[in-house]
Amino acid sequence: MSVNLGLLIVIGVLAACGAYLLMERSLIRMLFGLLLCGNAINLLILVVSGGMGNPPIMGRSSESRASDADPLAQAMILTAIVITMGVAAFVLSLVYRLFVINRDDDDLEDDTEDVKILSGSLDTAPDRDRTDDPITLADTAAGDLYDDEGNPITPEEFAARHAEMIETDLMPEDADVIDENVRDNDSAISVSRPEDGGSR
Amino acid sequence: MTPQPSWIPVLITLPTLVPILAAALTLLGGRSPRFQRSIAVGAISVVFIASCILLYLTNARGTFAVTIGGWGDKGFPNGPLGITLVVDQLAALMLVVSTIVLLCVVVYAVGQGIRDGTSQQPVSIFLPSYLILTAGVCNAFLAGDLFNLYVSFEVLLAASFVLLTLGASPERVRAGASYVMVSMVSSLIFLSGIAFAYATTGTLNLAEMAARLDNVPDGTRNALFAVLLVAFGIKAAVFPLSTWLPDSYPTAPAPVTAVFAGLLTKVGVYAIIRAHTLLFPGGSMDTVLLIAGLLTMLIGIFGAIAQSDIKRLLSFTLVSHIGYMVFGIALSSRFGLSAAIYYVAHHILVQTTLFLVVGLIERQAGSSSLRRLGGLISTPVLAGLFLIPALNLGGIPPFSGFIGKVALLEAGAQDGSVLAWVLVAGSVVTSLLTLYVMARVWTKGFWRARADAPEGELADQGPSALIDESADIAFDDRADVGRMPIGMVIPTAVMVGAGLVLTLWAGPIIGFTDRAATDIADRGIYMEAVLGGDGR
Repeated sequence: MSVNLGLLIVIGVLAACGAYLLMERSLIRMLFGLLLCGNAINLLILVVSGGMGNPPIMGRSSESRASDADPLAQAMILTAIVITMGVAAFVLSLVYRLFVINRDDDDLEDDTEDVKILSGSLDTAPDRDRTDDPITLADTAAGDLYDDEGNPITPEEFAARHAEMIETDLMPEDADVIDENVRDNDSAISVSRPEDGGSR
Repeated sequence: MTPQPSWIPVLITLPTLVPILAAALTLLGGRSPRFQRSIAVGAISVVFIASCILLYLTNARGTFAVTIGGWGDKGFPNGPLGITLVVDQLAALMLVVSTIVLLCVVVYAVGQGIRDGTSQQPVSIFLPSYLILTAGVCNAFLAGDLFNLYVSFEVLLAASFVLLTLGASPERVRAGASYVMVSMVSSLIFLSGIAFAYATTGTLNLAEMAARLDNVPDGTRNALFAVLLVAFGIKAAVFPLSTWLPDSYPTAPAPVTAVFAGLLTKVGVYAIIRAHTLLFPGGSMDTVLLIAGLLTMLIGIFGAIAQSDIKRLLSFTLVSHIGYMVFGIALSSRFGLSAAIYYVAHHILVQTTLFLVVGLIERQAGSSSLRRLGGLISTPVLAGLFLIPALNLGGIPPFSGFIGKVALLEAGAQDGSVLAWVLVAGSVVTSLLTLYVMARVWTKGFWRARADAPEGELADQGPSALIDESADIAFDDRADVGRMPIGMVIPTAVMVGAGLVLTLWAGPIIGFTDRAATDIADRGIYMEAVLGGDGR
């Protein structure tokens, strides 16, 4: 069978543009990428299903067409179009929601847990609740009360060391409150508490 | 083959039709939660009963097929034109296991809904979406046609999009958006695979395609197989294509995550089994699959070790254990397939149970983060419900996880190639690491005192007013902390029991999966059922 080169080029261009757009961060561009790719593949189904032919209706024929056109490919394309349209509608509502949440753009953000693991250190590692005693290697109730060389430190020193630490899976407001409590108790420095509700 | 009674075609269409009709009914009756609930539970029960009958029939009498439309008989030389639904032993087993899961989870969700007072909300969209998901999953197992498989994937995906973004909190929208995009890209790859397959063979009926693919040159066949494997691999979360899963699943509500974890990836695995045995026998991609399986196992479980949130941790073990199934499939032997089928059934039940238990943990303790949990052992029921599936997942004898893993190891040893032995070693390591991960959850979450957790005192407090726009989904349920509604405990207990059934009746079930594996390894049975006596 002969293949329509023009349509093949169109398919290639559509798919390439679609793939490029899919790499974007912005959800609406990704949606456009999805639509372009979807159309490219629909065209692909049309092209590979063969050339033009008689309409697939009993008793109908066109001039100089030897064979019947393939109705199955067109039925499949119709189904695929409907499905893509439904998903596009859903993605549009997601885009709207993302606009409402982010206020200014619809960019997808990194997963918070992934960021935590990527930027994590020994301090923020999961379950580092008890420090091993550097000599006996046993769990100690003292918690993280050792410095990097393994020398014991006092609770005051511990508080000072951790005053700047950000607990990544807490909202920052919470972490601030806890640190201030520690400071209040230990060194009696009165710090004004942030207003309830935090500053967003 | 004996002629089919006329009611069998009706029976085969039930698992697809009943949930769709019930979804329409639940939408119509959106004003009455009681009506919605009874329709949903009733519909899934009907599907469950139909699946059990199908399981019995296929076990006793072999494979059945029905061609809806059925224009194939009227002189068309190309065989059946219409929508083919096929049920063989594998499909029937998957249907039964899936409907057990779907039924238990819907009861669990209804129990949670009653407790949370969702009856005050105007129109509940959870149950209609859930029923559509049911229809999609069941139809995927029955589809005898590549395009029908695509459509059922789309149906279940569309429902899963809605379920994943329920409530549209920022977390869920972010997770849902990337999930939608990844799923749609995989669907597009699948669709292009369909286009290539149609161009190559001129048919999409799986049985017909299987016959015609034999005459296709090897290069073209492998290219087709590769495109389909990428599409199915994304859905099944096989290693290089699995990174979307742990970012998407944990943010959803507990029942939704449970049913996703149990079923959606397994639909992908099922599609890989079908393509591997029916369309492309001969194992041309086995080396690739074996390596992918090994990496899936190891990298998944390493990911799980790094997590502190139980839901994310379980999502990583889910990815990891997909590797076992890929291992079994890629061995291309009857034993490998049988072990893989048994493992799929085991894993659907166990993984769902664990996610349901996490839902209970969140409710009991207000969090699912190991940094905040502790002292859960004070609730022995919860501890028992967690411990049994956790040991099961880790592969401790006598549970079904052990039986499935031993069957896989035996199949690998029988294969005897170097790569197979590497995978055997890899799966033992993965199994031990799974046990380590589960033991960590146990010691941190259950065994230690809550005050010892790094943020334990936070979880003991009431919900913080600072976290009103909650980034932590676990806090959604905070209004009801410390309670375990009976409507949620019973379905979880039933799921734990269903997992144990796989242990108690391991002999007969392994026998059944052996027969199922023999049947799907012999393509003639499937093709004869679809195309009639002149299968080739």
